[in-house]
Amino acid sequence: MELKNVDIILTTDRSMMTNHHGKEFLGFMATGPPIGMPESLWMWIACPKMKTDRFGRPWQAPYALRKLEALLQDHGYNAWVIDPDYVDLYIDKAKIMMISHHDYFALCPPSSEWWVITRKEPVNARSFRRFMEKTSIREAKKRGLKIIVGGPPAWQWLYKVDLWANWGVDTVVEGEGERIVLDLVRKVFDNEPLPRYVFVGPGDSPRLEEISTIKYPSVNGLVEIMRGCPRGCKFCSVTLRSLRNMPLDIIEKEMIINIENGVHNGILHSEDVLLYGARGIKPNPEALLKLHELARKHLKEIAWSHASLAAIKNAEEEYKLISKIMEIVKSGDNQDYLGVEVGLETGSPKLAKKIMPAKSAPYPPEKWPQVVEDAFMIMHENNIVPAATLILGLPEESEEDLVMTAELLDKLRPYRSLIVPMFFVPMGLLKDKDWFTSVKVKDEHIEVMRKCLWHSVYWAEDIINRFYLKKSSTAPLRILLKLFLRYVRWKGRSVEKKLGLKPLDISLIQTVR
Amino acid sequence: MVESVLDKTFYEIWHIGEVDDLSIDKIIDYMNKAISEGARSIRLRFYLNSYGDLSYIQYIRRILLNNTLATIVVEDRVIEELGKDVEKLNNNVIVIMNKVEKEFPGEDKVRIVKVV
Repeated sequence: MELKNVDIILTTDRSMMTNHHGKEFLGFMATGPPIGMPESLWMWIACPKMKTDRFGRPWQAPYALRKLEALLQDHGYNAWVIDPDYVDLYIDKAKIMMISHHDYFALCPPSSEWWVITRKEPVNARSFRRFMEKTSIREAKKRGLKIIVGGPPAWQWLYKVDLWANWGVDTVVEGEGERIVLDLVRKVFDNEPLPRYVFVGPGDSPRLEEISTIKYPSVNGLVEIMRGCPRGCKFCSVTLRSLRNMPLDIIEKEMIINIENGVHNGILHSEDVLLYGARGIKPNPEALLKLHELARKHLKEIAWSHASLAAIKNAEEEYKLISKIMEIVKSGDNQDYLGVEVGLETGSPKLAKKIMPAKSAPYPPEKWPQVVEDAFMIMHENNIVPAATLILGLPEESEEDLVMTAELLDKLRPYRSLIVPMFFVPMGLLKDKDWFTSVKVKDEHIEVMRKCLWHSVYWAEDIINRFYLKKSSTAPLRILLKLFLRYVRWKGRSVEKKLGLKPLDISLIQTVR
Repeated sequence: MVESVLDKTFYEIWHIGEVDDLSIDKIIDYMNKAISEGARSIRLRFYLNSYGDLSYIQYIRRILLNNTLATIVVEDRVIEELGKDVEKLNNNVIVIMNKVEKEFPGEDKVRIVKVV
């Protein structure tokens, strides 16, 4: 379809408008600064340019932008996702530019953590800043272009009021966008003033029938299977939203859109995939098996965005569900593993009870470390490769909590996984330009961080060789990443030497193949 | 049919005069009261001396980051628009007044709260 003008441009910067070579986890490199190589090479590995058509419409785009594009087109608007390199083709005549992101200013974990450790700004923030400082955007603002920004990190703009003003952002939206976006667009078209900031409360979350189906492919075939989460963890905002399960026919429609446009793999997106169709926090085997049969029918490779460790343990113990799901996943002969993000958070039952009492449910929080270990074992046995995150620096945290987390990490050594510590950054620090110099890192934090480092470096090589980048077509990427890992090992050793720390013996990692 | 967020009836809290921690405390008091009485859509509108001055946002950060329940819409206008906006009012409004004096004769929808 020809494209002459665009009234509403939906876009983002290069760190987001990319499919990371079809390897979603490589996107995590966009949260760090370039280490051991020039920024251009780092960006090529993490965020290569997205293929576009001659009008600058990207082959794949972030799912949230695709949802809003579909919503606006369903309501008759001339709205299109446009690659950042092509925005200049349309910005002269556009009325609105809508931008989404995962971490505008690198203030979320893990970006903030890499910033604390390296004292260098991560590439996601650099890339976004370069985009917003384009002359064409400044010129378009003078002509009356409205800029609306949103996404999970919308709150960050509250700490960047100077940039908010300098870049001429008209409205910041926090929360689910379906209802408010149409309101805002109507206001622009009716020449009415826009609000500065909108927080969309849980009461204004859209019903299922108000959510449009994507019309064009999403990055790496991501499709959402549900919204919301019932666990109520203190550190999470998603849990405040009502639980909505997407019907299978809608999920299938979106899978087919991706496949018909050449995106043959898919990521099932949810805060906890194993709660799809659940009754409370107990998995629903029938719903999950049907979901995966559907995914296997259409997709070459299946991934999960997130799953909870308690649900993994419970699903396998009560229903043998993990084994059954993986039988389905592996039945296509294209796939012998499944990647997922999981929240490890802490090894301390006391801290678990304080900050996330329902995260271990149906098991009591006192059993949290055992839940973690059992879930890791189940995943290892079933070729599910987790990237696990844990939180350091919570206000409620004690040294004893950190020691328990370190002990748990020792128990997790035999299980194939990446474990990444995330620093909790108190909001109060963020208003200072050099906020990252004020984060207090204790010896116990360093011990946990280096256990995570050596665990992940060990298993990363195994994951790259045996699963993630084993095809010959990924050889250049594989070589670069292995060189990067070699650099990380060298750097890790030299930092340990500088700190006077005895190196951890990674040969103690028993492999349970 | 997609419902509107902005077409609903909002609990209105407007602010005129200098924005500081004391005036924000007043806003928070009225917001908390409104939420405890069941309000889930709150509009905070700031009348400023000049358009485009976003410095007030630093002060309302603590309101926005601590709210998880209500939809909050933040607007700003220049002070010259206040009279017209009062005339267009459909429901009641709390006007937080800080270091300024303003009167709204005959306007029984306006409840003035002075920051002492």
